[in-house]
Order: sequence, then C-alpha cells, then structure tokens
Amino acid sequence: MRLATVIGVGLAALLAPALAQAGSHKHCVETSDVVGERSCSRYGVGWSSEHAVPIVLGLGAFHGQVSPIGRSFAGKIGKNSPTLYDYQGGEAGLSSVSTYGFDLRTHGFLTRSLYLGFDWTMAFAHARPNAHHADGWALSPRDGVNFFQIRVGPALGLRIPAGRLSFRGELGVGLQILSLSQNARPLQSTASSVGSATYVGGYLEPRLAVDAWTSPWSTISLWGGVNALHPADRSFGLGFALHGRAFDGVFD
Amino acid sequence: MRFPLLWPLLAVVSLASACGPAGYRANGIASAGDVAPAAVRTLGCLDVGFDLSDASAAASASDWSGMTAAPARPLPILLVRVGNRCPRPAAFDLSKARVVAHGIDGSSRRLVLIDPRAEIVPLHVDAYAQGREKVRLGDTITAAPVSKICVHVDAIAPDAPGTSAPPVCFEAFAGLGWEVR
Repeated sequence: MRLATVIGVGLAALLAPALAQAGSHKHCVETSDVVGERSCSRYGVGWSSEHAVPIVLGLGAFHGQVSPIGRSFAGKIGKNSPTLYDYQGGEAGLSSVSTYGFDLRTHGFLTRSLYLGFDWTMAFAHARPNAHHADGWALSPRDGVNFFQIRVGPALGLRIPAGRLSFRGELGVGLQILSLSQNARPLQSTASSVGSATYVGGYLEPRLAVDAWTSPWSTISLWGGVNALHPADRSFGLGFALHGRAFDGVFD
Repeated sequence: MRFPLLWPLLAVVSLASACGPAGYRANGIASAGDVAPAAVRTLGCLDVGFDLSDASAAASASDWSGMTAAPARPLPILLVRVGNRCPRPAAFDLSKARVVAHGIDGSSRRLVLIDPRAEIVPLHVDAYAQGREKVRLGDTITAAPVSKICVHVDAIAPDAPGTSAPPVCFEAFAGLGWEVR
C-alpha cells in the first residue's frame, strides 16, 4: 500500500506541469476555429514545430547494483530518534545489492542537441546482510523488502540523432539515499526493534542510452550508467517516453 | 519473483510503446473527410488540401480594416489542411497562397487572407504532423458576385521551391455552396 502511494506521488510529480497546463486551459472556452478569432489557441498550435514544446516525459523500469562498501550508515529506531549506531557498509557483509524499481524523468532541450532534465528513481531490494554489532547494538537481517534506494537530481545530456534511433550521453548528478532495515537490539537487552540504517550521499553518473522511436512522439529507451563516486554502483533502465516534438526536432 | 512491481512496469512500457501516437501518413488528408481528394496537392513533403464553406456570419468590422469597402455578402471561409509526410519539419507559408476570385463577368481579382492578429507567418509542419486551419477570405475592392475561387499553391512550400501544382479551384453553386473543380 505504501509502495502504491509512493508510485502515485511520483507520477503526480512527473505529470504536474502537464496537468496544471490542462487545468489552466479548462477555463478557456473556444468561441471560434477561425484564425484571428480564437480565444484559446492560435495559428500553428498543434502542428508546427515552432509551437511544439521541446520536452520529454519518461517512465521506466530501473535496476541498480549498489555497493554498501565504503559507505557509512547511520542507524535509527523509529522516525524521529537520534542516530543510535553507525557502521561502515562493509561490516554488514554486503558487497553488492541488486535493486529493482522505477524511474521518472523529464527533460527539455536547451539547443538542438543539448538537454537538461530531472530524474527521480526509487528502487527496492531484499538484502541479506550478516548479523553484526555496532555501537552496542546487535543487528540482524529482516525478511522481505528491507532495502531501498532513492535518487533525485538533474541530468545534462547530448543527443545524437540517427534516424529511427538516437544515442544519448548524459551526466546525472544528485542525491542518493540508501536505507537498510534490520532487526536492532541493544546488546544488554532481549527486546528487538526495527532499525533503519541510512546512507545519504551524492552520485555522479555518466550514462549512455539508446532510444528507438516507436512513433514520431514516443521512444523506448535502454540505458546504463556507472556512479563515478562509487564505481561499483551500476544502473540500468528500460523506459518509455513521450516527446513534445517529433523526433525531438532532428531526425538525422 | 520477489519484486512483482518490475513485470507490470515492463508490461506498461511495452504496451505504451506499441500504442504511441501515430504520425501522418502520405495522402492522409483526404481521409479526414472535410477535404475532397481533388482539392489536395503534394508539394515536396507536404500534402495540402483546401475546402470552402460559406461564412455563417459576416466578419466583424475590424476584420475589414484597410479595405476600401466590405463585400456585398461574406466571402467563404477557406479550410486548409496540411500534412507532413517526411521525418523532418517542412516549411509551410500559407501567407504565400494566392487566392483569386473570378466574377461572373469574367473579371478576376485577388482575395486576401484575413489575419487581424498577424498570426499567419511562415512555420514548419512538424515531422509526420498534420494541421487544420480556417481562414476568412477578404476582398480589397467592392465585391462583384463571385463564381469561382482558385487557390494557387506553388509558393506555400518554401522547402520545395521548384515544385509546381495546379491551382485548387472551387465553383459556386447557388444554394449548394462550393464544389471543387
């Protein structure tokens, strides 16, 4: 249920500009379809490239490989508690975690080829950490989905058109949150709680992508990237996007 | 499978890709139903089609500014359909359309496209896009009865400068409106 809420909020965030625009048009009542007499539109809107909005909205499946090694996790019990324990990711015995989720993106073209956008990713995993101790707490693995990854940040990219395909190179920069839920128990106690150990840091991810145009205004894309700040981190995605301009304005 | 979210997402991506918006296909203008096949011309990448319909109401007085007199009865409205059959934007300049009215007395004169907000400027029809516009026709002189109106399209596709196409002509039939000839 919480997952559905998160997906809903994400979709709403992605679609908010379009919905706002649609909402603002709702109050405009068109009185004529003749040039010069329209109230809500003007000549060329809907068919000319000059009036097309050069933006892209995308939604896709995401797969990440995240290495906790070399990262510091701060643990809490409950939402508002202070940090109760810290440990290095390697102490949990996890060399890599495979996450699965989705990403939302929007970008707009600054020039014919250069674009600037914003990505939002949320992914989940079942991690299998070792039982270990940290700052007087005994930590043990939890069942089910116990690991999540969130990434938000801008991306600057270059698009190379090649007919029905296009190739993109981009650099994503932003904030990444990794969180591992564990059973946490003070060493001198038998009562166990759910602890959440969180890492917050940046990412700097060069990515390569290939888009296949499924129509003049839609693509399916395959992409991959490596986090330059933690080269063991990898990301892959398969996404669908709608484009404001046919072939982003340049076919080949 | 431990992550059931992944497969619905992949299904959505695949389905959405298959259902992406389709683009304009060559000769698709006539299939829209409001333009007769005989009123369609192909100029390079562009298919351009026209129709005339009687104006339901006279244009407002401001529409006739700069003209010596309003016509005796409203001239028809020109319906323009344009479609781009190519994967690149194609230039389209409707202001270069030459619309000529032929009177029953054999005289002819040029009509203007009424554009009070100066919107009709050269634009590019997006790749595989199609558009539909309606424009009032105006007369710069006291109008004599018109029996035929022809739209000359040679100059409206700047990306296809050498292309020539016969004009699209409509004849007036009393009580029946305009028919393409």
